[in-house]
Amino acid sequence: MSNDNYLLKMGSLDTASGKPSNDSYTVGNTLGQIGINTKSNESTRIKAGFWFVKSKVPFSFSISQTAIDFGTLSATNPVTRTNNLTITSSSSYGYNILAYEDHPLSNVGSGITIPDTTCDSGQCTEILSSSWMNTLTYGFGFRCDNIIGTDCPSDFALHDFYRQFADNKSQEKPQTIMSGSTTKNNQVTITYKINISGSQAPGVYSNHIYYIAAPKY
Amino acid sequence: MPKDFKNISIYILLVLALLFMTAKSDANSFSLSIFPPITQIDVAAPATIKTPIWIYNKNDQIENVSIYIKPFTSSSLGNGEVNYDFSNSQANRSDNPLYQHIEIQDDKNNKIDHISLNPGQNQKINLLINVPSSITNGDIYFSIIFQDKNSSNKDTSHAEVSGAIASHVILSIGKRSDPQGDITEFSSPPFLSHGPVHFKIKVENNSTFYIQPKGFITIKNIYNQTVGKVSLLPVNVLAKSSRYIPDDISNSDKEAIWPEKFIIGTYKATVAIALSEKGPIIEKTVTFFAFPFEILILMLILSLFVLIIAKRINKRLNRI
Repeated sequence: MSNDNYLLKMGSLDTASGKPSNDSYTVGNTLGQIGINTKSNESTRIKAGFWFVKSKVPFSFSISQTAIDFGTLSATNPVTRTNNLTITSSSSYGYNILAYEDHPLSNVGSGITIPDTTCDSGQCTEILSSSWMNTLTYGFGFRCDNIIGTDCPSDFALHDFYRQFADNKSQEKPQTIMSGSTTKNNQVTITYKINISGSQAPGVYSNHIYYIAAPKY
Repeated sequence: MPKDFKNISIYILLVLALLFMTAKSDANSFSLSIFPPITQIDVAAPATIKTPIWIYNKNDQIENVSIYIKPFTSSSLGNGEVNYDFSNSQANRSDNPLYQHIEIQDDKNNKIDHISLNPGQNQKINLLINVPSSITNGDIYFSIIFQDKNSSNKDTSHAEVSGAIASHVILSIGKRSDPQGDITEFSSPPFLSHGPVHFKIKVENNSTFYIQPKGFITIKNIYNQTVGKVSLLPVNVLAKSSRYIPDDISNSDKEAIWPEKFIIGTYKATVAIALSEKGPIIEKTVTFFAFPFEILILMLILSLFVLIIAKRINKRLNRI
């Protein structure tokens, strides 16, 4: 069985029918209803999208600026740069954006790194933020600020709180930096901050930051 | 000024002006849409499934996108968020032999792992899964990830940001037995002064396949009258995992909310959930007590105030 969009070749698969019930309750179901984006027969069922979301609103993710240029770094002069993340999700379940870095900022030639910040308290991690205001606190980190909606993690509520990015080289798991429910064009600003000490070797330091927008299942 | 020199100057100025106006901005951005965000496939082996995915470049520049498949697991938050393991790009895929039978194809049935989209271009690609007869049952969960491949060269310190967007696939193979599961948490605040009432319901799926439980909460007062009903969102609970079940209205990802504001007395809330179309139905009950404590305290304060004033008035009258 096929059309332009679906090709189904199948074995046999019993499907259920009726409404499950016990002495007290009967719970309805929609098995057998061929709704939007559903193809079904006795052996295979494919549901594309969320069957209870009638419209075909796509899942969208935008980043305003993908090249974050810190320029030439100088000791104890923190540099901040920003970009915006925008999301549209029709899923009733919501979405989240996972973030991680391939490795700390490093010089390609020498391999010397600028470590991820641990903030003023030495306590911030890829999971938990902390205040970073002291110009003698070094490293690389980020923070999230809500522009439209309230999808930033709540620990960024205080304006000088930063986190590290999850470091993939150290096998740290990607962390959620933005999440929400059904939304249209919710937007956040990500601020990237870098500060180096006087003993940091001069050079060009770089890394790769990955953002993956994933609908909740 | 000689006329020729004047004309040449004007031409040079015009050319420079055009160059300046059309100089390519160094700014790169990313903007992609995909549909559908999730595809659920229930199938019996052997089978060949081909299902479309649309990808749309919303940007005003060409988008070079790499396409790859990445298994996901459920987050420990139990709210439907996914986890990926990027520490070893091959480790997860090689665990399950079915991944060798999954590929992304263009419209001409060619296997692809990247695509180039012009500004505003909407492109259909196909997910092809060949389920061999040797794989008789089991679930696999993976995302098709569309990753920005654009890059820029910089000679100053920088971070290269790469955007990606995922479309999930929940694939369940084989005939399903009766699902096994339980409600591991059903709770509400035990004492409230007013609504809305926030319930937490957590369902554990002990089956080897995903389930999509359906159900509702019924709230009854002390006279056993039904005073409220909350429909639950039919979320996916992956095999051997747990998930919170929210209601189908409030947009919460972890709570089912009864929106009634004025409540007074003892209430009994019962959640009934069918783990599948064939059942079983599992139930749990929780009791909570509501009383407008703030209003009571306010009334007490007011009464006390009135009492004090009345006493003083009485005292004065007695003197007279």
